Amino acid sequence: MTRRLFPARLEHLPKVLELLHRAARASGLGDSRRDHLDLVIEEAFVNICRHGGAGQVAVEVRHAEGEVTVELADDGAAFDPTAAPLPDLADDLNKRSPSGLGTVLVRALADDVRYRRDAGRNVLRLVLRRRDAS
Amino acid sequence: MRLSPHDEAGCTVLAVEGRLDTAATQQFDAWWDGWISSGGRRLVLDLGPLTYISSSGLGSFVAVAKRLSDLGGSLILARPAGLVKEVFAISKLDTVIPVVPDVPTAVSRNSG
Repeated sequence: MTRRLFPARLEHLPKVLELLHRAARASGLGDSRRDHLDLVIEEAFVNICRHGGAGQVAVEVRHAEGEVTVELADDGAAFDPTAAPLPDLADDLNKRSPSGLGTVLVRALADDVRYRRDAGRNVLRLVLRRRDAS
Repeated sequence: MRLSPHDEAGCTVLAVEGRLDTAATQQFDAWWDGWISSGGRRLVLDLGPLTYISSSGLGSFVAVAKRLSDLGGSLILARPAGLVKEVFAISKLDTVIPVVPDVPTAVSRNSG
């Protein structure tokens, strides 16, 4: 298990992803699922940086054969991204909002997404597993 | 991310190369905002060299498509592959913005 603290600012995202890539390689997750991991963590990290006024994000990474688990814990205002409403993907261009697609991607690409509020922190746990096509 | 525009048959073809993540989207937004301000209306995005896109990039595509539609112009997305194609399918972006498999088809369709 690896745990590191990062400032909740967008320019630190590459360092977060670097940490995850080591776990992804060690777990044998596969290249396409590693891209999915990047995408899921970018969406979650950007959300933390932009909403709730968090100062720091603790990133905890675990890996097992074919599986990576990431916990992001931030000290921002309570926000449950798993309860956020999904945009209506049947809308035409005029009604489509440019925002909100991150939640759609996270739910489609992560195998498990769980949120809890723990000791004044938002804790988001994301699990990605190897898929046969990876 | 690298942006390489050229004009072809009455439209602008912009090759988007590398990763269109949240940070790079700001650069992409600045490019298309300037292009529209200088009179650009018909745009083809060549996504063949694009290897990664997150929701901010998708949102930017929706924003430019809407803006061009309001101005009587149009956006066509050409030759997405791999992760980019997969993300288009998940977000159903291809139901609101035309997506074609190659640049010549996009140019002929967007030449007005």
